[in-house]
Amino acid sequence: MSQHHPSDDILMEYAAGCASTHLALCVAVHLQYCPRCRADIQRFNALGGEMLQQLPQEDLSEALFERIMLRIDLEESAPATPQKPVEDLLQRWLPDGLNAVSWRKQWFKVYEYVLEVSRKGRQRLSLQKISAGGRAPLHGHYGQEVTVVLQGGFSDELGVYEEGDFVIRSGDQRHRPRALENEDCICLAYLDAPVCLAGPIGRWIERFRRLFMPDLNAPAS
Amino acid sequence: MQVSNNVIVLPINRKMDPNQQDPDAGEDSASSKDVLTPLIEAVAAQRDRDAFRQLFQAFAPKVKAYAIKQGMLEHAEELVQEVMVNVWRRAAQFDREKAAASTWLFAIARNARIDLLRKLGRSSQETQVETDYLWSLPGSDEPTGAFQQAVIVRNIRQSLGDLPQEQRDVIAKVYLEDKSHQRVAEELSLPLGTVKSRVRLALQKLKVILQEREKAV
Ligand SMILES: [Zn+2]
Repeated sequence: MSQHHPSDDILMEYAAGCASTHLALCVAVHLQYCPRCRADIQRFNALGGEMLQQLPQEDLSEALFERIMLRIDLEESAPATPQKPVEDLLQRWLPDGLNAVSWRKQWFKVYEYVLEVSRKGRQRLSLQKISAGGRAPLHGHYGQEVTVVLQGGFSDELGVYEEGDFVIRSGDQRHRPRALENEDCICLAYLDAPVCLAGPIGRWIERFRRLFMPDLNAPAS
Repeated sequence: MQVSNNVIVLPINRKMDPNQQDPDAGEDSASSKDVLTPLIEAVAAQRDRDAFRQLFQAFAPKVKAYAIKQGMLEHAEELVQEVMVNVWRRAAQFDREKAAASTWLFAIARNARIDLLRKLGRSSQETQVETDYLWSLPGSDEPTGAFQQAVIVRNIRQSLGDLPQEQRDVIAKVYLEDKSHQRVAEELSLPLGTVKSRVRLALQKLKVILQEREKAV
């Protein structure tokens, strides 16, 4: 059972449907592991139901119902498309599961597999792997980093995280994640702005990065 | 308390502890007066067009209001169409043991809105994953029972009208106007922390979040 959950405001924004699609994906993956948050989401959805029921009634065009029935009749006469089975949320990227991922090495014992990058390259959805006992470099973020542990676990300055845990780090929280000793740790990670490396070598790399991506702000405080 | 004539008006007796009271007991029960549930079930079981028309009359005008609040005036009836077609298509997936009718209909409307925004290219980020996987409809989870569902909805309905206006406003902006807490704070020129604590207070009163729970990380 997960120990680290999305905050109430994230759950509410998710239920309301005003979270970004990538954040929604991270929440949805956590929900697969977490009965407590699933129960919370039911109540948040019920609140949405009431908010909607209490709205005033708007007048509709007269022909609207007939237009809807016309569409339904068309669909009913067409051969039924079979119901798509509920799939694992990451299956489209990982048809052969987590063991068949072709990882790209990033650092000693640290690997990445990119799932989606936004057009401007600022947002990044990826899988991250730290081999058992390995340690990522110290880093902060220009924006937020959302992590959901898919396998194994890791620890950093702020806690220990295991399968299903949902962790969110803001820009000013620098950390150095370390995989637990006995198992490789694989996480789904969503960054809404690039990582910001810290430490002596990191700062040197960062100086170059700023030359090429001048629109980067300093890590959000 | 503002409740439309299409929805059940529940007995307002706030002295009673809602958890101690059987929502199915007596004629005022949440489920016996809920007109939406039998309509959805009739659509599911008999493809009952008359029931569907009644459902349309009760729900579609609110979906249009929802679309307008969301700033989709020019696509409001398009959204109504999408929502009602999905209600027809998915009625068989509705299960009163798993969600109240109003909750299920909200989820259908929410997903149709997100889907329409994505089709219109108005969503801030794109991903390959379909909306219905990102926001699954109630019902994929284990049933909690119609009784439990009715208690949840009644807690919320009874206390929603009692919320101070400022708490209600923030919740309405998030649910009906697609605004994050951050954007609500900017709009009201309030610190983000103030907005969050208003919402927290409101959610506790509504029993959407449970008071005794430790603060989530
Ligand atoms: Zn959780």
